[in-house]
Parts: sequence; structure tokens; C-alpha cells
Amino acid sequence: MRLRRNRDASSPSSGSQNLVVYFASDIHASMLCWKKFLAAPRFYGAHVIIIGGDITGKFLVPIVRQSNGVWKSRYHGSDRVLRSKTEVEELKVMAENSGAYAVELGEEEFRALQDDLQGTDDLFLEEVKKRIEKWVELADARLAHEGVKCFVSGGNDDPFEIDKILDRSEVICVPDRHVVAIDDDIEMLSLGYANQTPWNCPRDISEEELGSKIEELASELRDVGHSVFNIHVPPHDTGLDWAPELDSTMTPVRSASGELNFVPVGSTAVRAAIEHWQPLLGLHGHVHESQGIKQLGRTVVANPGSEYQEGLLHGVLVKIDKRSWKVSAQLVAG
Amino acid sequence: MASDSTSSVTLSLSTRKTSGLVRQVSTMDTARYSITQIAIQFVFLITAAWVFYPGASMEWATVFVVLGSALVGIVYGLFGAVYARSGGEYVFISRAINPVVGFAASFSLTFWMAWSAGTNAAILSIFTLAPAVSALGLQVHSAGLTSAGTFIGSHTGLFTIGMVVMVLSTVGLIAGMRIYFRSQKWIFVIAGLSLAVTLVVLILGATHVLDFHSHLDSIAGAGSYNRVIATAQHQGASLHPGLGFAPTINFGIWPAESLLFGLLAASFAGEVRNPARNQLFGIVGGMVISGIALVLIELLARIAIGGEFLRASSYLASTDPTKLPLPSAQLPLLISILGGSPVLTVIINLWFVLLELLLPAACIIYSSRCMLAWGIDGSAPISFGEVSERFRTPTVAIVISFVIGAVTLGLFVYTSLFTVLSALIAQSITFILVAIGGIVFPYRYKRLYEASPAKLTVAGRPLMAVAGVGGTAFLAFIIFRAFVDDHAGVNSKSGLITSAVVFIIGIVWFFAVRLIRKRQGVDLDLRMKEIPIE
Repeated sequence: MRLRRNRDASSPSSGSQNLVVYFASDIHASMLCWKKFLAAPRFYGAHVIIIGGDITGKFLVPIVRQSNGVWKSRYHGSDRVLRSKTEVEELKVMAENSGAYAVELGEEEFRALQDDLQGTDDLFLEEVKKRIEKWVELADARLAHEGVKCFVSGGNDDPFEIDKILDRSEVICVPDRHVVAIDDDIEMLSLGYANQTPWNCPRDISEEELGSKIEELASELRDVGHSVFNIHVPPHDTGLDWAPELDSTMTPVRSASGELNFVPVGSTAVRAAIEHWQPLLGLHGHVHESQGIKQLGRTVVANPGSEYQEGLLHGVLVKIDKRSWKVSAQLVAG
Repeated sequence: MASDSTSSVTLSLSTRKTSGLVRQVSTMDTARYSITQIAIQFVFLITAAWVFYPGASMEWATVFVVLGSALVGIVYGLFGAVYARSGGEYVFISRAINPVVGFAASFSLTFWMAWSAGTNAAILSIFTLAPAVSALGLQVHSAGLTSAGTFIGSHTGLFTIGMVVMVLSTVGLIAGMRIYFRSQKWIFVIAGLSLAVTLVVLILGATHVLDFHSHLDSIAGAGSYNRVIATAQHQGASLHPGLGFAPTINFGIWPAESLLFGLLAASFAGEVRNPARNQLFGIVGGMVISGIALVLIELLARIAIGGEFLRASSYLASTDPTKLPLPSAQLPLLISILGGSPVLTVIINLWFVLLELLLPAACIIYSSRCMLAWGIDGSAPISFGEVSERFRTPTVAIVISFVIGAVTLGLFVYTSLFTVLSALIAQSITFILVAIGGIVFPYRYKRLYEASPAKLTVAGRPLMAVAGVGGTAFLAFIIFRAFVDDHAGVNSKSGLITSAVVFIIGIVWFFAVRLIRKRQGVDLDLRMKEIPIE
């Protein structure tokens, strides 16, 4: 489906020979990374900024009010006793910056949730949505007059509920499952899905389904050779998709000397599609450990990697020369 | 009093289906990796050098180095906790100090690790294969085997065997890490058993169940043991120097050559993690375990073989080998003689040979990974970052490391340009830069530090900074000793010039690549610049 409605009707690079695109992915609810993303247009001189998925967090950090007036929590593997509201707020900010959702609970509430998986899920989803709402507010405030195009997709880890929240934004365009124009001359197809992972995530699908979704969108592109494929999962076995091999208990497999063994986990359907359609650029995320910029035929494919928990925003800065159609890309870590 | 009802397990982990949530890697995994890098078989270097430091205690020198290295290990472990995925000296130093210095330090260490592949290929023959074969020859009274041991230790033998090992290691690594891991698994099992037998033999020697003196005399002729001691004493060897603090810590550069390399075990942290425990205790734990093993072997060897004989034989081997009734005085040979049996000789020497056999490959892996990172980063030609489609290995980077190692092997064997420890100053400079980075990081990057698992304090100060101060002082001492210690040979003109030249090349490379990339439309200055927010 072609998304005809763009937030900013005019192309940010109108009249310019070069289009500068900044791409990041897998920031997993890190407020610090989100703020850096919103600052990226000025810092890098980007006309277009894109987040390629996995924008919701993985962890709840309960901060439990005790009957004796303190709060207790566990963060980064250590137990903490917080003796004032100020300390509680500080921990909340730290957790927010690292992508976690800190929630203040009473002891009874906490105990009840420990036995209530559905209740915990509901609480989690509530926090996820609240964070996205906050992000939308920030984006609307900070990008309103920047003249930059902002695209934010959900990835395979993200519940579909966030799409509607993002869509309410004045400045964010949600390109997932659509073809959009990022420039007068360049279109982008976007898919936040991934091939099946061991975790059965909300947007995990089979390779066949992934292949047919890409096919459907690619056939809508006016000029596929000068387009961008913004697909969350990287193409298989490109060096952008190496993750630690896991055993059946999700434990990384280690050699006798303690070293990890890395295996490719990317999508064969994505690889086949890129090799067939040969777009200008492929932008991917999903595998945090596997940052890099490679070439698949004439297509430049990139994965910026992620260190969101540390508040480091990994990105790919791409400059497209629209006369020669030369793409130069570099990894950056802000 | 409220009980600790806070459990984060249910609420923080099990409710979200998100990819990448893996179980934590264990502290022992990181420790194993650290132990592998340390190479405890280098105890043969320690015992060989001991006589030239009158008054030094091998054991206390090792303890001193364990403590000093552990301080640096704490800094490495905490940096690894902050930069879980993009770690290594290049990142640590670039962020904490300066990108130019960071790249040059990484460039230097990368070169010297590739260099070490070559020297370790030679050390394999000098300190493990030659002594093993010679010992067998003596015990079975085979002139052929004894001559073979001599040949292995000759220039031709060292170079030939070294090149075979280098080529096999390189081919194996290009073919894929699975081959390396599989061989490593079996090597570790066999080496572990062999080490256990070695320790038992040493204990039996130390408790006089086995008698080195009589075993030596039965092989080399009656009175050989006493003759070696008398000859060495006559030639000026200090065999009863007593114990001194200064000589002991000065001797530290020898165990440092082994223990400092546990630092290279910065480990993957994963999404679910407690890096403060895993990486910190893993690296430091690996150093402590290795240190205990080294001290045990040193102590038992000194008692079982005799401190006097250990000193005397090493002295003669170095100054007047014709007076030694043995092909060499390497520790594996001496322990084999103590064992008194060809079967035990084979078993005892297995761990020395096998662990040393792994080292050239381990050095090439480290060096090629750094080159791969530069290629990905844009700090080196793209080919450095290329991975073979067929083998999924960084072939170009591996071959470059091999070439450096092979050239080093030739120079090491056929010239006197380099010694075993030639790389120590350059490598220690990289390590000290990380230690200095640890001092400044908690203050320069306050927000990142305070939000990270590295935020641990001791007496109210950041542990990273405190350990950084101690580690810097320790490494400064090691570097100083390397400059002034003529016995270690680190301060040879060729070694020092090479160290300086390599570092300068790293600096020039950085600026040259930056200029080239800028012309290609890529601004490398943006590589690690933090985006400011409100």
C-alpha cells in the first residue's frame, strides 16, 4: 500500500543534489536514544531521519513502596534501597534512559502481580504505550519547524498497538507496510516484520510471508533501482546478521576457551528480494551485535547495531548523490 | 521489618516476547577465556630467567603481578560493562581519552599481537617441542631422538616447524572458527589431564618420592647434578642470593608477559546481564586462577628440582651451553627428567606443547578481529572488514596477520633483532592508556558512567578510577623496568624503534584515512562524537 500522506509535503532536500539520511534502529524505549534521534537532523545535517523498528522496551523495573517508608528496587543486577522521592525519580530517569519501564507499586500490588501474568502483561503494555505517547509529544515539539522528514516503524519486538499512537504525531510518518516518498526522487518501502525467532515476537512471520510482503510493496515502487528498502530484519548471511549461537535454553554457546560462536540469523527472503530488486539502499536493524555496511550486488546494505542500554545511539549516516546515484554510508555512534 | 519482597525476575523478564533476551554468560566462561589468553605455559620463561635476578622470588613476583594486573583487569572489566558490544581498546581509549590515541594504541596492539603469532610459533619449538623430544631421547637412550631435539631447536628447525604451525593455524582459521573451537575443546581436555599429571609429578618430587638428582645423574652421568651447580657457581652465577624486595618486583616483567594478556578477554554481555559481576570477576578471576597455577608450578619446581640447580642450569644454558650435560635447561625437560619415565615425559609435555600450539592462532584471531573492526568502521580499507562468503571468516585480515607473523618468525629465528619480550613495552603502553582512561572516564562521561553497571564505588570513589590509578602505577613500573632491564631484552634498539615506528604509523594512518574518507564524503570525526541533547 502506498502511503500518500506525508507529514511534510515538501521535500527537505528540494533543489539539493544530495540527500542525507540518518538511520537508527533498536533503541528499545531508551529515552536518551530517542532524544538523540530527534537531535540528529541538526547534528548530522540530515534531511531524513528513520528508525527501523524495535522501539519498545524489554524490562519492567518495579520500585516497591515499603511499609517503613523506603522503596526497594532491583536494577542492573543490584538491589537498591531508595530513601526519598528524589532517589525514586532519579532511578526512574536512569531506567527510562536505558530503555526500561520503572513503575512504582505498593507491596500488595507487587505481590499480586507476581502471580498474575496477564496483569503484568497489561501493565507492561500500558507502560509501553505511555512511553510512545511521551515520545510523540517530544517529537512534535522538537521537529515541528526543522523541515526534516521523520519515519518511525515498529519492529518485530513491538506490539501493533503502538502504530496508532505514532500515527497521531504531527511530524512522524509510520511507513511500516507502506511505500512512502522520502524525497522527490526516492521512495522507500518499509517492513517491521522479521523471520521467526526463538522468542515468537509480535511481528515474527515465516520467510514465505515475509517474501510475499516485500514482493507486494516492491512492485509498487516507481523506480526500484533508486529506492530504499527499510526492512527491520537484515538479509541472511551478510555479516549484518551474526548473533551468538544459542542452545535450547537460550544460553549462548561457548567454546572450550569461553568464546562465543556467531551464526547468521537474518532473513533469506530479504536477501533474495534485495538480490532480485537491487534497490539503492537497504537499511536494517534487529541484530544489535552485527553493525556494518556491506554490498549485495549494487545495493548498499547497512545495520547500525545497537547499544541502547548504554544510551549510545548507533546510526548509519547515508549521503545519496542524486546526480550520480552514488551512496556513501558510514557508521556513527552518538 | 519488611522482608526483601522485591524480585525483579517475574516483572522484568518473563512477560515480554522480545528477541535477543538470552541467558547471561557465566563468570566462569569469561574466566576461561581470560585463562586461555594468559598462557600459563609461559612458566618456562619465568624459570629460565630467574637466575638473572639474584634475590628475586618467582612466587612473590607472580603474586605482585597478579595484584597489579588485576587492577588493570578491573578497569577492563568495567569498560566492558559500559561498552558491551563495541568494546576493545580502540573504543575504550577513543572515548575516554582521544580518538587518535585510541586508534594508534589499537593499531600498535594489533601489530604486536600478529607479531606474537610468529614468536609463539618459534617458542613452541624452543621451549616445548625441543625439550620434549630431547627428554625422550635421553630417557630411552636414543641418539636419534636427542639429535631430533637438537634439530628442532636449530634455526632451520625453528623456522620450518614455526611456518608449518603458522600456515596450519591460518588455513584452519580461514576455514572457520568451528574447526578452531573443535580442536581447542580436545586440546583443553588433554592439556588439563597433562597439567594434572605434571602437578602430581612435581608434588612427588617436592616430597622426595621422586628424586630429580638421581634421575639426572642416571641420564647424564654420575655427578652431573653437582657438576652443573659447581660449574655455574665457578662462572659467576649467583645461586644463593637470599630474598630481596627490589629484585622480586623487578623480576615481575616475566610473569607480566603472561598474566597481562588476561586483559584481552572482554566479553559479550547480552541483553540480560550483570556485567559488573561477569566481566569484572571473570577477567580478574581468570588472572587469579592462572596466578595460583603459576605460583604452584614455580614453587613445586623450585623444591622438586632444587633452586640451586634451576638457577645453575639456566645460567649455563644461557652463557656456556657446552658445560651443560643436557640439550637445554627448559622447564619441561627438567620436569620430564624428574618424572623418570618416557611415558610420563610424553604426558607431562602435552600441556606445554598443546597450549603453546594454540597461541599463534589465538594471536591471529585477536589481530584479525581488530582489523575487521577497522574495516567496518571505515578506519581501514573496506577489504579489512570483508568476510568470505564461503567460509564466513575475515580472510583478508587473517592473511595480513599471518604475513606479519611469518616475517616476524623469520626475523626472530635468523636475526637478533627481537627477543621473546620485545612486544612488552608497546603492549603495556596500550594497556596503560586503558588504565588512564579508567581514571578519567567516570568524570568525563558522568551520565553514561552513572547509568551503567560500571558504577561501583570504593571508599566513596569510583572503583574504575581507583583501579585505574593503581593499574597505571603498576604498568608504569612494568614499562620502566622494560626500558632499563637488559636481561629481558625488551630495550633492544630494534625493539624500541619498531615500537615507536608502529605507534607513529598508527597516528599517520588515522589522519591519512580521515583525509581520504573526507574526500569520499565520509566524516570519520563523527564516528564516536556524542550527540548533545538538552
